[in-house]
Amino acid sequence: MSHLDQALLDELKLVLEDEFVDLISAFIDDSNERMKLIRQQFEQQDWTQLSRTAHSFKGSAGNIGAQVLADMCMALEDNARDGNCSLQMIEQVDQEQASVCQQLKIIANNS
Amino acid sequence: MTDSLKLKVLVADDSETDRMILSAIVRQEGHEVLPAKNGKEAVNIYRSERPDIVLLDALMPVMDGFEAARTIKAIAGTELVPIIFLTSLQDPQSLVRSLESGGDDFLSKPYKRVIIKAKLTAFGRMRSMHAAIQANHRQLLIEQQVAKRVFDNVAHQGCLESAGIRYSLSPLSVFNGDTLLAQRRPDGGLSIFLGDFTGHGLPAAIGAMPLAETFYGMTAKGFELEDIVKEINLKLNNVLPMGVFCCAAVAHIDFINKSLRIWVGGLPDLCFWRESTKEAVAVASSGLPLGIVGADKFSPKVEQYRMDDGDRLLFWSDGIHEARNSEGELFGEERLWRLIRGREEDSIFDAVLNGVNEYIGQNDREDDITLAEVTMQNVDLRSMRPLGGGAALEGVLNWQQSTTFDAKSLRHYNPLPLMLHNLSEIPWVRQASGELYTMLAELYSNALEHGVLELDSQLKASTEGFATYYAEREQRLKDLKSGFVRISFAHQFENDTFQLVIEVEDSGNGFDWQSTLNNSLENKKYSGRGVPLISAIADKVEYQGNGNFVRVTLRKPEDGDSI
Repeated sequence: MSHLDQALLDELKLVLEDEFVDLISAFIDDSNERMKLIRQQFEQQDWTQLSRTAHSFKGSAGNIGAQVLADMCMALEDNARDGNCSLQMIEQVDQEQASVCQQLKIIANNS
Repeated sequence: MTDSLKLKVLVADDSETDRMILSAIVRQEGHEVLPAKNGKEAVNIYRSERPDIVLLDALMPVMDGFEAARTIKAIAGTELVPIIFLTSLQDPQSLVRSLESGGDDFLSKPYKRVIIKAKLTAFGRMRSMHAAIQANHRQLLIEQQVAKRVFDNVAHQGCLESAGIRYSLSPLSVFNGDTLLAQRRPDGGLSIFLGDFTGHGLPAAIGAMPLAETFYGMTAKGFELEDIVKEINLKLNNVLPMGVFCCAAVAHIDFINKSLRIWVGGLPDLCFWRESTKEAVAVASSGLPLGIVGADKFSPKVEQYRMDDGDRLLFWSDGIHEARNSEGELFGEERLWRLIRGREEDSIFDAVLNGVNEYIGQNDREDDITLAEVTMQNVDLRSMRPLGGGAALEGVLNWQQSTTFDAKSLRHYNPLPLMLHNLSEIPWVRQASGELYTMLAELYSNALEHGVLELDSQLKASTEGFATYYAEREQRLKDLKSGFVRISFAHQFENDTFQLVIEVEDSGNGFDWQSTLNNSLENKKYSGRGVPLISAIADKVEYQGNGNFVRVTLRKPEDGDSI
C-alpha cells in the first residue's frame, strides 16, 4: 500500500461520499485510456503530445494520492519534451499504473 | 455558510477524476458547481450562467484554458470574475502566460482542500466588495441624474433662447461647475449670469441652486445689478464650504436706454465688441469671486457702457483658456484675443468656437466649453407687452400711498422693486408690470438724476460722455446731503373705469418740459428724460410748475387690449 497516500484517500472518501466508488472506477478507466494513448504516441514518436498526456496523467494521479505514479509521469513528461524517451520508461509507468489500479479496486470494494 | 456567500463556481477540467474531486471539494464548502469538460464548454456556461468564480485547467482539448480565460474576461467587461488556473505546470513561463491571458491566481495539483477553501473565500470576498463598489457607483450615477433633473428645474437656463443670445454649453455643464442663466427684467431688459464654480461634480453644482433662485427672483422683480450680485455673494458665502467659490460675470442689457451694465469677479477678461468702430474692449474683473467674503467686505463695482445696436458682449469661462491641443498645449488667453481681433468671419461667436475646436482637434473637449454672446438689438417696446385685461378679481378699489425718499435713502436704496411689488396687488396693473416698471424706472431716474443730482442728460449722447455721466452720477450720489424724491400712487374708479395715477416730485430745479414733450418716440436719443417713452405708455402725462412734478395716468385697458 505504500504507493498510495492513505490519508488523502480517506479525505476523498469523506468529501465524495457515495461518489468515491465512481471516482475510483473513473480513474481506472481514464488511466487505462491514457496508457493506451502513451503507447500510441510513443510508436508515432509524437513527443509533444506524449509529454502533454504524461502531464495530465501526472495531475490526476497526484490528485488521487498515487504519488509514485505521478512522479514517474513527471519524469516521462520531461523526457518526452526533450525527445529522450525510452520504451523501458513507459513499461515502468505501465507497471505502476496496473499496481495502483489493483490497489484502488480493493479499496473501492471495501468501502 | 450563509446564502450571500454561496458562490456559483465554474469548474473546467478535461480530466474527469480531477473535475470530480474539485467539484466535490467546492460543493462541500457550500458552493454551487458548474462543471465543464473543455474551454469551449466553459465559455458557453459562463455566457449563460454567469458564475462568480471560474476555475480553469490550463491544458484542455477543443479550447485551452488560456483562450477560455481571455474570452470570459472579454464577455465579463467591467464585471469582476476571478479566474483561477488549475495547474500542475511548474515552469515560470507557463505561469506568466496564464496570468497574461487574464488569470488572477493558480491552484496547483494535487489539490489541497484548505487552500481551495481559502482561495474561494478570498475571491468571494473580493467579488462582493467589487459588487458593492459597483452598486455604489450605479447609485451615484442615478443620484447624479436625479440631481441633474432638479438642477435643470431650478437652475434652468431661463430665457437663454431669446433672440440676440447665442451660446454653447455642455448638457452636463452644471457638473463641470459652469452655470449660464438669463432672465428678463421687468422693463424688457436682459440679465445674464455666467458662473464658474471651483471644482467638478456635485460639490461644484450644489451652489448653482441658491444662485439661480436668487438671480431669477431678483432680476424679475427689477432689482439693481449691484443688489443682485451682493445677495448672491451673501447666499454663496453662507452656503458654500471653504475653498468653494464662484467666478462670475453678471450683465444687464437695457434695450431702452441702450446700455450695458456689467460686473466681473474672478473670471478672465470678457469681450465687449463695438460694432461701429470694430473695436474689441476687454472688460476686466473688478472684484473677488462670489462666495469668498461676507457682505461687509463685498462691494461690487459695476462698469457701465453705452451699447449701440449691433454691439456685442462675449462671455466665456476659463474652459476655453484651458482647452489643449494634441500636444497638450493650452489654448490660452492671448491666442483667444488674437483670434477675436484678427478673425475673418463676421461673427465673433463662430470665430471663437471654430477656432477653439480647430485647436483641440481630435481631443474632443467641445462639451467643456461655455461661451455666450449677447447682441444689442432694436427692440419694439410694444412686442414685449404681456396680454392685458381678463382678470376677474378687481382687487383693491380705492387706495393711495405716498412715499418720500430722503438723501440717505437715495444714496443706498433702489425703491423700484418695492414700489412695483405694492402696485402688483392690483390685478390689471400686475398684468402690465413690464411697462409699469419701465415707466417707473424712467420717472424715478429722471427725478433722481436730473432733478436731485442735477445731471445733464445731453451728456449721455456720446460714448465718452456716457461714461462721464455715470461716473458723475456715482460721485454726486455718494456726496448727496439733501434732497428728496416723493412717489405717490392712487388707484381710483372714474369714468366707468379704473385708473392708476402716479405722481413723482423731486427737490430739483425742474426742466423745460414743454419743448421736450414735443419730441416723438422715434427721435429719442438716450436722453431727453425718457419723456417720449413715458408718453407712449401712459394715457396722460402732466408736468406742473417748473417741471419737478409729474403726474402720469394709466387707465385699465378694455379686455383683450394692453395698456
